[in-house]
Amino acid sequence: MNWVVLVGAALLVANTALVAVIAAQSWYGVRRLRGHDELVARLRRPAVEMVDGDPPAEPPPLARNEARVFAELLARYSRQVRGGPQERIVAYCEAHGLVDQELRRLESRRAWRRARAAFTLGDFGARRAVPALVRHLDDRSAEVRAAACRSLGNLGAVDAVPAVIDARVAARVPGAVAKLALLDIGPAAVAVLITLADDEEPLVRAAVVQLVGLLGGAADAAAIQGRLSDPAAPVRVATATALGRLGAREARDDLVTALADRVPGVRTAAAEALGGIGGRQAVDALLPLARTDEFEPARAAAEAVARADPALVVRAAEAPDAGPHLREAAGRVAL
Amino acid sequence: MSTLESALVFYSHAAFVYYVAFNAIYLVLMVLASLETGEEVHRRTYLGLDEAFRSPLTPGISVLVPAFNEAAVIVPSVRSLLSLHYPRHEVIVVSDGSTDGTVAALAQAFDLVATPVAARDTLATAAVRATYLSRRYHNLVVVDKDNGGRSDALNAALCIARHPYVCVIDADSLLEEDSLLKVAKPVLDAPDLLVATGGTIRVANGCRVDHGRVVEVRLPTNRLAKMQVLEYLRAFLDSRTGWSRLNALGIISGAFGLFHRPLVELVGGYWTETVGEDFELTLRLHRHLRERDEPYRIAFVADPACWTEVPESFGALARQRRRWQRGAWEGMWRHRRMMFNPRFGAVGLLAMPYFLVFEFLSPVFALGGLIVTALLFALGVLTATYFIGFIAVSIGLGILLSLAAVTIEEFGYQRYRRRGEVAQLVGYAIVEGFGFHQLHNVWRLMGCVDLLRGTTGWGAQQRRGFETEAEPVPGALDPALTRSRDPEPAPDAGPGGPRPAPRAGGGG
Amino acid sequence: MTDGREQPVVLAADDDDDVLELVTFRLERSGYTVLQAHDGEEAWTLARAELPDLAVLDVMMPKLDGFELTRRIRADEATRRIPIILLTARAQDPDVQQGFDAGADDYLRKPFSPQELRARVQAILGRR
Repeated sequence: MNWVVLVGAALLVANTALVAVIAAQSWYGVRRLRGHDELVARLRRPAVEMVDGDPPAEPPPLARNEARVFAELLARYSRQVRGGPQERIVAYCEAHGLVDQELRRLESRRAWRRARAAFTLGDFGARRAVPALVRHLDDRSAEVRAAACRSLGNLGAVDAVPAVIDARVAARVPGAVAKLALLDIGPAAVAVLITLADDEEPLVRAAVVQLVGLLGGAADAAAIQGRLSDPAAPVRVATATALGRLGAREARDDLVTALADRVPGVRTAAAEALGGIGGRQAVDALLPLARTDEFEPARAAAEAVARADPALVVRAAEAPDAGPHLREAAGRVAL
Repeated sequence: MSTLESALVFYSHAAFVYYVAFNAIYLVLMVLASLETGEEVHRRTYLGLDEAFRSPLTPGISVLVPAFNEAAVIVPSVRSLLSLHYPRHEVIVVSDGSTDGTVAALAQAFDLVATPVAARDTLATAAVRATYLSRRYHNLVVVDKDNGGRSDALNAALCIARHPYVCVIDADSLLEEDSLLKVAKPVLDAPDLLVATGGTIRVANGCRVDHGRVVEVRLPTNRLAKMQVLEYLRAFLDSRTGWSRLNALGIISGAFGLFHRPLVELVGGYWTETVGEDFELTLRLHRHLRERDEPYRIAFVADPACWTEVPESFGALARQRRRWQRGAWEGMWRHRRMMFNPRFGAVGLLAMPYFLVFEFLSPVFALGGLIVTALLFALGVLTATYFIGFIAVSIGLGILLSLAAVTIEEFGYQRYRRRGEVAQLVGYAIVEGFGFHQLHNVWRLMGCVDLLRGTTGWGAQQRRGFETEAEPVPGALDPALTRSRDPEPAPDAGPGGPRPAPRAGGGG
Repeated sequence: MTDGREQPVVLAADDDDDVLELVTFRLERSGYTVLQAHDGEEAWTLARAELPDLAVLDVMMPKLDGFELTRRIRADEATRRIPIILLTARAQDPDVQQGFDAGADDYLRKPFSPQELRARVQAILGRR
C-alpha cells in the first residue's frame, strides 16, 4: 500500500504546486505586462522631449521602476536615431549613472547579465565602455562576446578594430557579428583592414576584401585588385564581389579574365561584378557564359547582361540557343 | 493462474514499466526545455535581430510554399509572406495541380506574367506547366505544375530557389513578422555548423487573423482544437526544445523549417513516396552528415512561431493522426539502419528508438496495457493498489507533464492572456489523460492497420525498403554535373496517379 | 493638396511606435500637422481621405508595404502628386533603387537624424 500512497501523494502535491505556479505567473505576468505598457505610454513623450526637444527637456524625477522603463525607452530610441539625439541619450545615461550601472553588471557572475549589459552599453552610446567591452571579447560566454562585439560596432570604436578582427580570426565571435561591427565602425576601419590583406589565412584575406568592398571607396579598389589571382578561391570570390560593389572600372579586364576561372563561384561573382561595371567587352564575355555555363554562373551572367544592356539581353534571348537564363533575364526585363 | 492470465499480467507489468520509462524520458525533456526557455527569455534582450536585419551580409532565404487547392487563403498568405521582416527573401509558390483557381487568384492579385524561369535539374519532378513572375513584386515566383504530391512540389521549388537557404512552410501557415529572422538567426551566427532549424507550430484556430497575420491570439472555441493547443505546447514546443538541446532533433516540421538548400539537394530533395516527408528528410540529413562524420547541428528555435489551422472534427483529426503514424513508419523503416546504431549518435540511440517505442508502438503498450490492466482489475486478478498505482504513473504523470508544458508557456511566452484561457489550458491538461490520449492511441493503431492493410503498399514498401536501403532518393544527381534546363516536362519520377498534397506531419 | 490649411499636413506611417513617435514629435515641433498610420492600409486610407502635403513612409509595414503603397499613391489621380520620403532600415542599394523606381522622392535610412528628416521635408515642401 505504501508505495502507491507515496507516489499518488507526490503526484498530487506536484500537480497542485504546478497549478499554483501557473496561476501565479499567469496573473502576475499579465499585470506586470500591463503595468509596463502603461509606464511606456506615460514616459514616451518625456523621453522624446529629452531626446529631440527644442530645447531638450529634462524629465521630472522618476521613481525606480519608472527610471528603468525610461532607460529602456532611451535604449530603444537610440537604435533609431543618429546625431544630436543620440548624443543627448549618452549624456543623460552618464549623468544618471546608468552607464556605471551597466559597467558593473558587465562584471556579473551571470552570463546573461553580462551579455545584456554589453548590449545595453552599445545602445547607450557609452564610449568610455570601449575598453571594458574589448576585454569581454574574451569572455567565457559566447553570447557575451557577441554582444560586446556588436556594441563595439555601435560605438564606432575604431581603436577596437584590431581586437574585433582578432576575435573573429580566433572564432570567438560569429563572423556575421564581427563583420557587421566592422561595417558599423565604418571607413575608418578600412585602413586597418587593408594591412591584413596579405594575411596567410585565406579566410582572413577573404573577410578583409569583403569588408573593403562594403566600406571602401573607389581608391581602395586598387589595393585589393591583385587578390583576383589569389590562390584561394574564397578570396577570389570576395575580391570579385568587392570590386563590383566599388564599381571599379579599372578592374574590368581582370574581371573578364576571372570569368574563365575554374571555380564556378568565382565566375559567378565576376559576372555579378561586371553587371554593375558594364561595357562592351564585359557583355561580350558574359553572353557565352549565360548560354552554356553551369547554373549559378550562367544565371549571374544573364542577369549581368540584363543589367548592363537590357535591350541586348532581350535580343540575345530570341536566339534558339539562348538557354533558359537569358530567356528568364529577358522576361524579367520585359516586366 | 493460467498461462493466459500470467501472460496478461506480464503484459500489464510491461505497460507499467513502459509508462514509467516514457514519462521519465519526457520529464527529462521538460527539464531541458525549461532550462532552454529560461536562457531564451534572457537572450531576447541581446539577440541582435535588428543587426541581422540591417546587415548587408545576411544571406537570402527562399520561402517555399507548396499549395494544392488553396485559392481561399493563398492571396493573403502570400501577401504576408512578401512583407516578412527579412532583408532579402523571395517567395516561391508551387501550385501542385490545383483545380480551384489557385493560380488564377494569384495572377490577379499579384499581376503575374508568364515568364520562363530557369531551374536546376538536380531533382526530377512532375511536369511544370508554366512559371509566372510578378510585375509588382520582383521576389515572387509562381509555378504551376502537374500534381505530384507535396514532396514533388517542394522539389520543384528547390530547383528554382535562388538563395542559399530555403524556408519550407504550408500554404495556410501564418508566420509572424520576424519569424523568418528568428528561425534564421542561429544559422546566421554559425553558418558552417547549423544546417537546418525548425520553429514552433501553434494553433491558429480562434485567433484573429488580418491580412495573413495573427493580430490577436485566442484560444479556439472548439474543444478538440483546444486540446490540440495543449498538445502542441507539450509536443511541438517543449519536447522538441528538449531534443534539440540533446542535438537529437528527429523532425523539423514541414510547416515551418529552414534548410541549407544545397545540402537538401545533395541528399536528394524530398522523398515522394511518403506522407511524412518532413520527418524522413530530417532523418536523411542526420544520416548523411553523420555517415560522413561532418560536424553539424540541427536545431529547434522555440520563439518564432508559425500558426496553423488544426482539424476541429474527430474525423479530420483521426485522418491526420493516422497519416502521421504512417509517415513515422515510412521514415523509420527507410532509415532503419540508424536505429540503435551508435554511429548515428543521439539520433540513432535516443531519438529514433524513442519514436519507435514511445510514439509508434504506443498503442500497444499505452492503450493495450491500460485496457488489459483495467480488465484484470475488474476480474480481480490485479489488486486495487496496483491498479491505482498504474493510473498514477500513466495518467497522473501525464498530467504533470502537460502542466509542466503550460508552466513553460507561462514563463516563456505568455501567448494566452485573455481571461480564463490559461485556466482552460490547465483544465485540458488534467482531462487529456482521461480520453484524448487514449483516442489518439486508437488513431495510431488505425494508422498501423492502414499500413498493414495497404498490402500492395506494404509489399511494395518492403521491396523499396531493401532497394533504397543503401543510398538516397532516385532522381538525385551529382551537383558537379549540374546543367541548367528549360522548364520542360521532366522524366516521370514517382508512381502514377495524382495525390493530394498531404499536410505537414511526423511525430509529435 | 488643399490650400487654406494653416500648417502643411504630413502623413507618417510606421508600424514601429518608437519611430512614429520620434517622427511625429520632430515634425510637429517644426510646424507641421502630422497624421499617423500604423500600417500600409491605414496610410493609404488617410492619404486618399486627407490628401496630405507630404508622406513619410516606412517600407516594412504589415498589410501593405511602403513600396507598394508608393506605387498606389503614384497611380491614383488624386494622390499622385504627394511627395514621398521613404524612411527605412531596409537600405541596401537594390532597396533604394526599388524605392525610387516605385516613385519615391527621397530615401532616408534608419537610424536617422530627426533634424535631417525635417530638413528634407522642408526642402521638398519649400519647393512647392
